[in-house]
Amino acid sequence: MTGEHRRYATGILGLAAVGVVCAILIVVGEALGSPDRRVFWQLGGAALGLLFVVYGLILLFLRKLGTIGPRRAEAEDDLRGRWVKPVP
Amino acid sequence: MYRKALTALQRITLRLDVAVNRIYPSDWNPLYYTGGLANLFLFILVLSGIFIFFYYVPSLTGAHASVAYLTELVPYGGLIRGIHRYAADAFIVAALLHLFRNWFTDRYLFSRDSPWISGMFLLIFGGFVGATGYILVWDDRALAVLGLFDDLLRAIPAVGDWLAGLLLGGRGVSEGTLPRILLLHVGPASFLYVLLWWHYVRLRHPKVWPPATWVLVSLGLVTLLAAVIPAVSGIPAQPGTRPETMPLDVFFLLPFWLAGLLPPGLVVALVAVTLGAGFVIPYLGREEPREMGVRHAGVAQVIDGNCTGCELCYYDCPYNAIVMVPSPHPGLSRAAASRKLLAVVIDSRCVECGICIGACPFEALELPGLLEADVTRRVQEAVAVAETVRA
Repeated sequence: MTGEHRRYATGILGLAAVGVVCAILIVVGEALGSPDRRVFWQLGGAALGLLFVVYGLILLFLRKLGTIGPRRAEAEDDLRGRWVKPVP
Repeated sequence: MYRKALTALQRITLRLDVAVNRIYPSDWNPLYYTGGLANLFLFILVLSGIFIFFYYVPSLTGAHASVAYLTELVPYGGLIRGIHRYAADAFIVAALLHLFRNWFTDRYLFSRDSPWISGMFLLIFGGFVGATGYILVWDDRALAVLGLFDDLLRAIPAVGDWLAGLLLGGRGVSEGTLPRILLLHVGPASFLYVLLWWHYVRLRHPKVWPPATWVLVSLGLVTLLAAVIPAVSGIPAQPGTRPETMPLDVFFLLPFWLAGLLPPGLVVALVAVTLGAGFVIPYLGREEPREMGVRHAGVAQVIDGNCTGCELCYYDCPYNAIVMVPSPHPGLSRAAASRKLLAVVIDSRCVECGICIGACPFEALELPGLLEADVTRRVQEAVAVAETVRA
């Protein structure tokens, strides 16, 4: 494992930890939020947004690590379609 | 002058691509997915809009109260409203980036005028839908926008008064106004998907959706923004009054803001000229193949005897100009002797680009008027431009 790989792997672990915190905050927001305490709904919403961003960045880091490929599924679909697509 | 400016902008765009490709994997470069991102934001708008639609009451007394109820009392209602608000801005930003990118990289000429024209309609309808969304909130800004909308409509020659009466439910605000505005918001929003079909129909491999990472990051940023800076309403609208000032929204309300400063007729003329210029861009300074020093290539032709029915040209043609049909007889070459399919070129769709010729490994396609020397020269010119950009 190169230094660059190690940095990305550490980044993924850090982001995953942030994701766990976000998940806890979403639960807190859902449990405590009410029309009188809308700030908790806002907190839960912010945590949900951050969670999406974190998951997106984890995907990006996995791609930079080479763990997931360049649109592999799409390439496979294309290849399958090439041979089984019915004649128009 | 126009072409020189476009060439300079093209170089800047390509340099930006190269710079971003150093940060992200090239197949995940967000600049390649500006259209897909606009589509994503439109999808978010539709989903959040359906949610809001269940709570909205389109009446003079109920509109502002229903929006306030959604924002303050419905669990996460304020968040969904904020997502709807910011996704609308993001849609316009992504659409404008997409427009400028395709303009600067010459992806609007010849047969690509169809996506360009449909894209202009998408932008106009998208902007109109966003502007009507501001009126639906029915606060003091909504009243100001409605008044300016009325002024702008009536400034249209010949049909202005009739149109204003039809779209706004008579002169001034009435109980018929908000249901009409709601229709003008939801109707064109639905029509955007018809326009999207037109936008994609001539493209073989359109990137309609960004990679998952950008879906998550975009959705996350919009949600985060909606939670941190919630969308809020102003004071309830009081029909009969007209607010002096109106907060500016550069994405949707620019013409309305201008209408507060300039005579409405002048604003209508400005908008018409700007949009008209947008529609003629594909035909402005357009260089026909003959003028480019290359003889007219002619529509691609299939050499029947060589075609093996492999479908490579069918998949590579970006303009859907090649279809595969059951082969009526075997080909002449050994590879083509047992073919099941035959490629057929649809003349009206072919733009004589030569991509199918590059795709075919069996020399079964040709452009009748284009010699190999011309192709070589074109490739050398393209490489020279690419090297200049890289340097």
